Amino acid sequence: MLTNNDRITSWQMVLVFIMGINATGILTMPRVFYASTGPDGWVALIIQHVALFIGMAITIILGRRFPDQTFVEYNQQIVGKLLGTIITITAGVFWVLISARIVRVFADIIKVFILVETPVEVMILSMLLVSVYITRHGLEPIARMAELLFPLMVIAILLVTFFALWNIDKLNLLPIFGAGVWPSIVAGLKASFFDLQMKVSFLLLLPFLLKPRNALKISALALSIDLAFRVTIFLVTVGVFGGYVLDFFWPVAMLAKFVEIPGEVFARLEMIFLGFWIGVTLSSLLIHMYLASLSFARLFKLRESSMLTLPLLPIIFIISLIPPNVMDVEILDTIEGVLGGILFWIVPTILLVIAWIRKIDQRVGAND
Amino acid sequence: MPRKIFERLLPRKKSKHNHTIPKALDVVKKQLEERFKDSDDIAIHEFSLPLKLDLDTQAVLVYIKGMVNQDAVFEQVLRNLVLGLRQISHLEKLPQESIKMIKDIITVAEVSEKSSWDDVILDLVSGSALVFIDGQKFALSINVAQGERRGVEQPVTEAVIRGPRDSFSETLTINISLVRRRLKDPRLKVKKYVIGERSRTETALLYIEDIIDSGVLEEIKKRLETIRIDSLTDSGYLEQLITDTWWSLFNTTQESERPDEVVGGLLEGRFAILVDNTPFAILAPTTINTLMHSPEDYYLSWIGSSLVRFVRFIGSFIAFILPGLYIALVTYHPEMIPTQLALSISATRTGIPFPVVVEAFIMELAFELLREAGIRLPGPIGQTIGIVGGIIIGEAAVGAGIVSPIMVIIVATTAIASFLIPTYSLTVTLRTLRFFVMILSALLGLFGLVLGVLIIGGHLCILKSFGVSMLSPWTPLRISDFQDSLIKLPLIATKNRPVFGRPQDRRRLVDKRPNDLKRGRTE
Repeated sequence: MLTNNDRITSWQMVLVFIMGINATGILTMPRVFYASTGPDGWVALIIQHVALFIGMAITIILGRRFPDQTFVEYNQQIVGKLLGTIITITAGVFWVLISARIVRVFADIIKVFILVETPVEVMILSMLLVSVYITRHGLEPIARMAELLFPLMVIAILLVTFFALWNIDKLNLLPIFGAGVWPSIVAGLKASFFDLQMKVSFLLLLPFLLKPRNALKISALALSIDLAFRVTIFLVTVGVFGGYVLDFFWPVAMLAKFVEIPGEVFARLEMIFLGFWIGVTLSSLLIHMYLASLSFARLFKLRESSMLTLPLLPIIFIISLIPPNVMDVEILDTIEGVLGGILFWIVPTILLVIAWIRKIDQRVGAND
Repeated sequence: MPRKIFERLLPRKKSKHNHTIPKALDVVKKQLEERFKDSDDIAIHEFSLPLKLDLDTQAVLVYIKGMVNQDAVFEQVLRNLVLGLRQISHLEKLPQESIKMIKDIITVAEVSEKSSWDDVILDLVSGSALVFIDGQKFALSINVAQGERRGVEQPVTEAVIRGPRDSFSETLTINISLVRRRLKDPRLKVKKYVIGERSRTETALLYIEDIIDSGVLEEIKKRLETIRIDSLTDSGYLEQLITDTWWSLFNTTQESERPDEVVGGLLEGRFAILVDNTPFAILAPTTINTLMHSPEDYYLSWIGSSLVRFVRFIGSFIAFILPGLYIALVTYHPEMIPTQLALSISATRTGIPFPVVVEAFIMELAFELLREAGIRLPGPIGQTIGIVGGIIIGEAAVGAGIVSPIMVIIVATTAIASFLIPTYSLTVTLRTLRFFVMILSALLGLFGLVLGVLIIGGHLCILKSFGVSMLSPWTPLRISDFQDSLIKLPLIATKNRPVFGRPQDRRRLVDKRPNDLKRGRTE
């Protein structure tokens, strides 16, 4: 009872999801969505999150057939040892790529806004060392970290959006459906396939829940909170900048730079915002590194995932340094998008269909 | 492997010591003298017991000078045995009855027969007087223990303005009685352990049977039973041996010298450990939250103590962040400081020969020197250190242009903030962490500062004290425990015990007051 039993509460799982999918992506999100849909981006966001909920429901339905197992174990039962191993390795590589991308992009942001002269390698290495230290101790500290840092994220978002409210120009957000409904729907669906895609997946995390029956509620809550954040940020950023959003690489950071808090206590709000965001990013990095080490550990049938976190460090470090500059990181992003879409939309659906047809079900009393 | 080495270092229980006491008094005497050779504080009196009318039985009284109450030994033991027995011994007695008579005639409460050398010797060194009688295979162990002891005095490290003024002293029995006096509940259990192969230190585990979580209780019993050490000099030793994470800077147990705090802890479903010769009790499971509580918070009005709590939490943050923040801002991001303030900082810094980092380290080091000197020096001189250090050195350093006045302000604020924390061990931890944060800030600016805080936060997320997260109630989130954390709700709003210690019995208060009192409006 007193040992680390690695089960986490439903609320912690909600926060693991929210903190996991929010790292650096949200900082560029207004630009990406404005580029594809104009001021209707918030509709696309809603559609994206609804689609994501369906995707998560698929993984949960699949996972429920195999209580106490992660997809590393059950995909081998469904599609055979070879194919299952390939899927697992792809997923592990995917999470390694994500970790590398998160830490690289964030180091670049820090370099631009906070530490201009420090090489990115230092930032990347220090972030990775910290996350290895925490990840080694399993999911429980990671969930606690997410719980601890969530208020920080809320404060950061509120700080930036609240003081920008007075600068919103309504006209920037109009017209609604100026280009028709279809572009938003298409953009939303596309974004749900190539972006976010339940990266923090119940494929792996379902057995870690204290009350697994809450999984659907957890996904709904996590997605709605995330949606609220994203819609707020999108509306405020676009409301303030209008079409100029396209000119900024990180519109949200620029928004923080633009906003002033009355009282002359803090100059340069973007520093404080990014200071808070270091925590948010670290939390996300922790989760992805953990998922990577966990999937490999389960594949090699290791009892603890902690053995693999340290070996992952140099790999992530090297991959994060491959793109020579910020623009090239986008390539990493594209690879990641395609891989993620396949892994978290197509693979679970196929697995579920096969499991359903072949009647593979590990639940007690399922085959009576 | 290390455990094996450790066990080899400790004295083995030698089998020849475990034999029983021989019948012949000469042999007993010989063995005693052999055992206590070169121990001049042992007293061996030979006398004769008038057990039979015509024949005296030889006997020996043994005790250690200074450990026993000498008056009691002579008046209540020796005198009664020699003179009192003589008055009634004209009757012929069977041997069994005569022993009972001897026991009756000694007017000391605790008299017992012991037949193994080990028990007898342990009693002797704990302050009992022993009587060996010729022809008997046992010794009478008479508890007349009394050593030099300090009385109950005011707490030194945990002073309060409102609240009881007694604190633990070095005597275990007194300490236990201080707790018992506050909890007259038979369900308060005091379980004793003797720890230390050489020191034989009595240690008491205190808990309330129907509140404490059984898992925690089992765990602490297991941990106490597996301790093999030669000497338990202070509860600080024990603390290091039972803590969950010996490598951590944070203590996962709490120390306290206040009986009321220990009682409060017991009522929250925690356990306390009292160690003989130590005025500090150990309380666990501990969280950062409980380390920030002072018993006074519960005695004052809730609004006042909520404010104090809040100040304390902010103070603890300042204590380890402020110098690092200053270094990061001035060295790396002067643009973050509002213009006016930045100007005045730079004005005070003109002519200072060192970079901010060096300046900060010099001053923090100077403060640590002063603090340590202030503790080591005897009371009256200790105060002069404050004057010399604070006024003369601080003033002179600024005047000489070695440090800037604003640096002095920063260091002084940090120092004051670190003294807000009620638990001494946490103060030490935060002081150490301050240097860690300073180094990171000096290397990586604001990024380093945030990273430092995240490392500390992550470390606390990993720590557990007897299965309880150190950051409870914030994570894992327990809204009901917010009643007694950053804020302190009024007593009538905290009807249940906090849940972090998983208490079996949750109810603490049943509100049976008349309705007008409940509403808070009396005519």
